[in-house]
Amino acid sequence: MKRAASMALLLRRAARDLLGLRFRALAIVLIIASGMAVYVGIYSAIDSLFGTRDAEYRRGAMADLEVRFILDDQKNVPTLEGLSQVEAMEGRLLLPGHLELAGGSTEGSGRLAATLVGLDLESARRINRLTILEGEGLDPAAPRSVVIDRNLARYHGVAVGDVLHLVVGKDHYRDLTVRGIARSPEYLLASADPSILLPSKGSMGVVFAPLDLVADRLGFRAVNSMVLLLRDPADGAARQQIVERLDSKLAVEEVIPRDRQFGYLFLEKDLHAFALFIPAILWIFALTAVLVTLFLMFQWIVGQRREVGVLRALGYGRSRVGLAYLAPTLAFGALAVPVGWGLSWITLYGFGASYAQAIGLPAPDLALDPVRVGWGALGILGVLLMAVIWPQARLLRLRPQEAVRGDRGEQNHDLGPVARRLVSSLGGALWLRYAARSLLRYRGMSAMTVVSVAMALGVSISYFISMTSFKETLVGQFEDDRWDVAVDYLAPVWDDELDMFDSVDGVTEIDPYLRGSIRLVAGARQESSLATGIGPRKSLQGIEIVRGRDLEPGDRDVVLLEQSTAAELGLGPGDPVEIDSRGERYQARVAGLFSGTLPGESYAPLETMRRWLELDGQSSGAFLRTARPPDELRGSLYGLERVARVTTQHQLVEGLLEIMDEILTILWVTEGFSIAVAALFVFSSASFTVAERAPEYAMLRILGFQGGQIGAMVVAEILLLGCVASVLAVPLGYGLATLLTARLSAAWLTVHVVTRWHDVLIIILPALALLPLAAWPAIRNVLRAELPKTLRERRFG
Amino acid sequence: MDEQPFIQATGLEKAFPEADGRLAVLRGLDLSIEAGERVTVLGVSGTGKSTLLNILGGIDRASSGTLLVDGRRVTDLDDRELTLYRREIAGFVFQFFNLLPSLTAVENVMTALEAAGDDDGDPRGRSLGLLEAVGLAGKADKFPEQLSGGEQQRVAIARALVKRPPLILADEPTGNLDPATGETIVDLLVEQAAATGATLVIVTHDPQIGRRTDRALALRDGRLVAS
Repeated sequence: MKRAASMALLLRRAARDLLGLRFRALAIVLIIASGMAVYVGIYSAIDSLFGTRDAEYRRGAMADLEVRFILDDQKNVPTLEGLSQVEAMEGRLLLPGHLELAGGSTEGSGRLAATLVGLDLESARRINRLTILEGEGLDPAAPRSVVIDRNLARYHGVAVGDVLHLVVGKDHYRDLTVRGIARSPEYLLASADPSILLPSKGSMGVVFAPLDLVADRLGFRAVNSMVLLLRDPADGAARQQIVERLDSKLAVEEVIPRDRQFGYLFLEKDLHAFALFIPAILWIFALTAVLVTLFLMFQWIVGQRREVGVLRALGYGRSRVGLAYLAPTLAFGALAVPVGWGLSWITLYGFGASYAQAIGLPAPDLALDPVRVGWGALGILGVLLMAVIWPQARLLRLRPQEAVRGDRGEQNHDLGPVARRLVSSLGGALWLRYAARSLLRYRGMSAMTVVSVAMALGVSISYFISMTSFKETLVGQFEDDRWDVAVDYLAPVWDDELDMFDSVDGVTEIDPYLRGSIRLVAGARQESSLATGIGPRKSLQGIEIVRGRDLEPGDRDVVLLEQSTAAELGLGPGDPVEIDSRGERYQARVAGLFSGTLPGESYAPLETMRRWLELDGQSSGAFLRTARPPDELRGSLYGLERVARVTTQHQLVEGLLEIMDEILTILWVTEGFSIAVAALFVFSSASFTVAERAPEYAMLRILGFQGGQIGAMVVAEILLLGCVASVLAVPLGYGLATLLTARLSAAWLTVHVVTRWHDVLIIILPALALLPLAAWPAIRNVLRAELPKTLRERRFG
Repeated sequence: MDEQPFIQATGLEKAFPEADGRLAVLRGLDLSIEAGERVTVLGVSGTGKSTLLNILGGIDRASSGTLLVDGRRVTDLDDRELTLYRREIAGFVFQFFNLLPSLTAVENVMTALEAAGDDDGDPRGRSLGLLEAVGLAGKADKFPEQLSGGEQQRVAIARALVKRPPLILADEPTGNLDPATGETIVDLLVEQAAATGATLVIVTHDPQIGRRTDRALALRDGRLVAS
């Protein structure tokens, strides 16, 4: 009972002391809470974005597998009876084309790349179901009424009741009435160019129509795509059986499991790339939090030295005194966890909503993951325990008389011989010398502040450098390509028909390509691949080879594989690979591996590709070099009868930059956190050193220095710290960026580190402007202090 | 025409708030000191000697009463004016020296000139001259931690004198020194004050110091009486 009462007394005392820390306590709480917020908020945002995608897939029964084949009569599609893995299957028709939009909403041409999705309405649709957002769904009785994807409405202003003019091949559908606006799980993200893994908001209009719309013109119900729901989507053998069964009656071109579907793949790749960056910032936050908390707790506990000595002399044991200081410390944790939880919502929305907006994902259902909140809270506890146990143990090891007398453990801020020599050499105005030398007197503290501020700024710098590197690598890939415009044809075009470009003024070079789907077979492993046949050496398409060699003139039966696809197939340069195309097997050899944004891409010599696709003398598109600005040629190129889609390089780069710029919002959040952490550290450090030197500042005031002059001295110290930290932050940021881009290169595509001063200055300049503000409370305290009382503290001279 | 004393305090009162009311330290103190006079204020610990010195130096404010120094009504000055007053009128010497540890001896002396914005006529040369005068010619570039207590106090005296203030205030200047060094320091203070014609007020509990100045007063019950 007596022991409990004395413990309560100790606890009360320690709690009061701790509350006395006020702003420094607030700094500890904010820093560790910020660390928790980054961890919980961003990971929860990533989880929520994946969750939103998966929920959309569940809601719309997204197909587990899609098999595309050469257009055929629906009657010829095998039923797949007997294949128990198939839960449901539906046939449909996918046709590329374009929309003639009024108002020039598509960069002056009024044309928008489009996909017509013909749906069979005769049976209840179970797969890739549309969620009607406005208006009504498709009606079998009204074949000329269509439903449009939400992005067509959102980015091009098409509304329910509008009449669309859709061009598919030679067919013009001029009177399609928009009956409803829908969201499809398949088009959560859309890209106009399937060979580029880049969601381009509003770049492709998707029009859903009854299958009969086209059947009326063709005279039969044509389909070229089967979507399937499977009982076990991971069952590769079952998938193989399905493909083989379909292949027996249809000319299968492409097999797309869900995890190769564009929307799925982009989120996987991009969010996992983001996730690569998070551990780095978390480590920095954790380290900074440990340092600042350790420092502040050390300062507090050492300040309690004499009182602890007295308590020990009065007979209180080490464990009781230790516990008394440990318990209120944990109260910081109790405060930091809810603050961290609150800040987590900010990072959750800051990241999640910005990201969804940037790539055109539907508004995500953002929620904090309770498991991550739990881990975040444990992290806070861990940081606090680490920060409090060491200084406390150091103090409790002292004998009571040592603690009271300050024989050991007393902080000594003498200059020492080395620092004396160093500071003697420092010139400049007296106030500047005073600022610089004060930093050297508290060199341990200054070093810790510099390192912490440098780490906080270094993280942001590394993110901006990584972002620029990623952006410039992607843009660079396009720039390496010598083409200005890529033209996709409605159907393969014979070489002797290429003179159609003669009618387009400004086309100076034509490089035909043949793109199609093939399957790569290596032993028991198979992968679908979007393969492009290009003219060796003379091609206008640049490819970044990471292993092996590029295509060379005279090459036959060789293939270049995207590096991750090669890894999945276990293939390297020189290895043999089988090509499965149009029911035939061809022997080929891997010439080299390249870095690409889109898994499953491959390149082969044009003639080889023509043989594999049985399209001798034909091409599916062409890269064009132009003498005039490519955008000026768009109208003329769309005017060519055989052209389905015109993509300018400028358009792709602009789209890419637009997305990157929107993702930059996320980096601003990171920068805000970094500067806040740096400011908190400067605040803690300035509070301590300025408070320690309060009598010195009082003496300066007695000598007649004005408040402004004293404030300038403190600000000079902070700026010196900030400048040294900034200098250190640059190599730190660069090193971290190198590490991060190396991880990104290993996980996705090869990224070259590109350093721009802009990425460094964008962090350092605001930091240097804001850091002095962190010293303001300390300056205010010094200027408000009562001179006689402060002088009595006698800490110097 | 009556000549105004250099320091004229009338009815000075100073009280500090306490848990159970206010503790009155100075209770209607009157004081008159002529220009160039050297005065010692004696008193035991806690009588308010330092408080009086702080009020005279513009470091603290009186609760009531009037203080005129060199014709300035110090009790009416605002913070900015008090700063100017300290800069132009008063030079301080403290028991614990209060040197800035990051600055060398000569730089510590120069701070007084820097504060006054008085950088004409070679401030370093002037500071070195004063250090020489207080017997520290060879230690100008030493840091406080490299000097003895007596040497540090000499630097403090040089700092107080360098801007040639008309008033020098010394608060227990020997309190942290051995008796022999203390004696030397007092002699030095008195000599230097005489050399510059400054008025010198020393507060101390040591009656020996009173014998070295023109006049000694004792502070008892918040008022000054002749010692």
